[in-house]
Amino acid sequence: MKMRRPFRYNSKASAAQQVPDASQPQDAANHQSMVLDRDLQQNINQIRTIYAKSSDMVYRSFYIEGQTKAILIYIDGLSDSAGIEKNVITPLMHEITGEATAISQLAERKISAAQAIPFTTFEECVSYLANGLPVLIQDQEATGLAFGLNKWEKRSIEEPAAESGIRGPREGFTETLRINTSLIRRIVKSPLLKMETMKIGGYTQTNVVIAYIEGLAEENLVEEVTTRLKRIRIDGILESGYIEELIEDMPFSPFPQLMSTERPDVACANLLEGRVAILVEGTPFVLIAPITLFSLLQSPEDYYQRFWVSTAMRWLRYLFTLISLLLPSLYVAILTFHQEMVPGALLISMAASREAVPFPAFVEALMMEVTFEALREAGVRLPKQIGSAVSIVGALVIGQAAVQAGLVSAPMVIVVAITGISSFMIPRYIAGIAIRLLRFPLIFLAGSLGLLGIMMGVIAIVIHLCSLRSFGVPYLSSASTSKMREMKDMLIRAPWWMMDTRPHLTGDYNEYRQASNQKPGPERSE
Amino acid sequence: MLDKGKISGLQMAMLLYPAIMATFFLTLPSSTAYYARNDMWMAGILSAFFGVLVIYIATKLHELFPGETIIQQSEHIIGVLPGKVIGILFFFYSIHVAGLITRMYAEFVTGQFFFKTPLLLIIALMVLLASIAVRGGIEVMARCAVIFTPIFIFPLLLLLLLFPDLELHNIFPVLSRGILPVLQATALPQAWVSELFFISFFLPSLNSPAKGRKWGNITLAAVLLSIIYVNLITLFLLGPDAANKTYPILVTFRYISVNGIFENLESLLLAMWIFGNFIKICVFLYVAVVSFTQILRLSDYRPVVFPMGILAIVLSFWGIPDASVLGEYIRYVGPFEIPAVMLLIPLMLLLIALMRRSGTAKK
Repeated sequence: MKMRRPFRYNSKASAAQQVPDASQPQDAANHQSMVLDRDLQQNINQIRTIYAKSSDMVYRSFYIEGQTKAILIYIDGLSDSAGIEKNVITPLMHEITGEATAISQLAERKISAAQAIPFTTFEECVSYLANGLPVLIQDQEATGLAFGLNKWEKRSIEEPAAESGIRGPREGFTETLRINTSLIRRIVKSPLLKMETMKIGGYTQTNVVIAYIEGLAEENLVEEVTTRLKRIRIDGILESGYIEELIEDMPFSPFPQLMSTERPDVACANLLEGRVAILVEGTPFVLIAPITLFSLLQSPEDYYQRFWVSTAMRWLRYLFTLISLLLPSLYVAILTFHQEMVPGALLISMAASREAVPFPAFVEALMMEVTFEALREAGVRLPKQIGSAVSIVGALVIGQAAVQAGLVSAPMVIVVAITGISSFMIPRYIAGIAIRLLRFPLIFLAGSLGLLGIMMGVIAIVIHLCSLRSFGVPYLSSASTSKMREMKDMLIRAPWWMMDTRPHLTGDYNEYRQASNQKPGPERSE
Repeated sequence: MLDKGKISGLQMAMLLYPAIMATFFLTLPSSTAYYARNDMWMAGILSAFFGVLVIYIATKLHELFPGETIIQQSEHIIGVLPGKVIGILFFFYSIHVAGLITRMYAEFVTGQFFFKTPLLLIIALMVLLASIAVRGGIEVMARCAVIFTPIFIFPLLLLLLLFPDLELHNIFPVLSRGILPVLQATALPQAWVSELFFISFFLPSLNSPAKGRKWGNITLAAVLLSIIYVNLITLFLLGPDAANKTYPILVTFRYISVNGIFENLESLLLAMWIFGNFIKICVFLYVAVVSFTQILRLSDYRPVVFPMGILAIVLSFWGIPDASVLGEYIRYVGPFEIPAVMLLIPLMLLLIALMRRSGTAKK
């Protein structure tokens, strides 16, 4: 009898060790560890080989004080050529002092660029060049200098489009990493704000910054974020969405497990609560971990307005989140299985409006919901000039005309419209989409099993949410805990003088955020 | 303990409250009214004694053998082999009751709302969801309970809308037929309250086990208040006639009507019943799974959960041809079966443990 070969569990692991890392460029190994030579020509040749067939490279050779041969290399368009001329080439070529021209002294005595970084390997050299730093190599020196004269076209700071508010700062992050870190640094001035940098992406070499406040963010949380980021082996990172999907806890969940924000004030508020922000070069969206479901349902404005207003808005948002999840399926279930739940007078008018409609409520709901999603998606992609035309046509088609043609009933249009609007009440677009997607299985369940089906669906969603974790923090931690203190920022938005404690994430933490007993009033003395 | 998760006292209470009340709400008023007639509201009060007793036994055993469930404790108290027999008894009992509850739930749903839906579908869906939750561990169950239990309790408050229709004189004459009918009526509530012994399976997972007794008693108080509240409302609305209805609570919910708009609330009862039973089935399935793994000393309980769920589905059909047999079983066998497993065996174990302990102390 032929035995089947037992499954080898380690086959994958051993294969990974043999095959070179697929995310890294294949020629990377050639120059990575090489050290600069004392011979200038050899160094130039090496860089020319690395950057062969690159028309945007600039090689500017000259003599320092008319004696020592040197070469300045930079990538056109990434560096400030006026600055290079003024701060590097002019002082080196024309100010003849006769002093020693060792590379270490050049930086100290002659070059007036703000940053001058010595380097010794080609790996460093390439990374400086790629980031737009001009590089100076001199004859008879095995050390080069890179100058902080990078400059490229960048978008200015604008108001974030997806996260607008009435009260609060209007600045938004941009695509430039340095601007983003500076926006955070401008708000949190304490030196305890730490920003660790790493490069991710074999080809893009994208800079990723992990920002946290020492003493507020737990050490093992920062460590966990760092290890998960280090685990990424990919050719390129173009947006923080790549990173989000590569480091989250439960990859098949429809719910986002990291929050992305465009607003520095939101990022800083989260840093102050002990969370970690991940800034990615080339995107204005900063990731925040860990989060809970309720942090997705909170708007930054909640904390700037009066707390009564914020509490009321929060409840309104919770209510409409439920509506956007459940209303169409409840409508289908009630019309199909539980007509007795509708009060008599309303039932008659609903029956009258449905009389001409040929489809069962389930088909009607599905049709309208899909149409609505299509209109929304089209609205995102459409050029601005056509947008208004489409919205008018859409409103007419799915509203008035469809009802008059007898394709759908008027109550269904109302249900779809309310559901559509309510899903946009969720401040985080991505959370709103997750909830809108879950609406469809619920409509199926409602059409087949009625209220029982909806209950089953809701139970399944709640089980999923209860088992979901974001970096070890339970997704529903503020709702399903037994500590009333944790609920204070979920059920209400407590006034600031009451918010003495930080939210409890995991393990030990820096509990108090402010001095207690700060309730203001006229009788308060100094 | 197999499950590393930790829950708080409140979470345990949130798990246990529906675990007792979920099936109980519907049958309770009719079965107590059957014996005690207009004294039915007293039935709950007397069962407090049994509740306090089982909670004391469970917590005392946990004090003697901390971090262990009744399955492991019994092996320590009366030896490995007899202990295993008791463990097997607990396992069979919990999986059998899990089947019974699922069947009760399905009978109610098909009997009152979904007349043509096959029983198996309703049972299988529910057991599937419960298995997923149990597989997620005690923390997931506890968090689900914190969310669902308030939803489960809330519709009870709607019964207060009946206030204008309540006839308070239904309560008189008090004790006209002596105390005996009230004692007979206590048979069922005391059995259900004995199920509080299941805290034995949750005490090892508590983050502060010392508070176990306190939260057990809080649960008991909540259960008793609900029993009295539901019995009083049914008595005031239906009078002693409650005995003739299968689900008196359903009748009272149908009776609610405010301004002709806020009416026909039995669907709310259905929702509440589903949420409550979900937690209840989770708890019984969890107990069955934990006892099974502990009897066999398995290292992980997760692989056992789904097979156990299938077993529960089978047991929900086995020997129960229809709803009336189920009702008779609950009315006549339940009052003796449940306390026998939940009260007498643990009491016996505790006495043996205490005697052995005092015996070793003398030496």
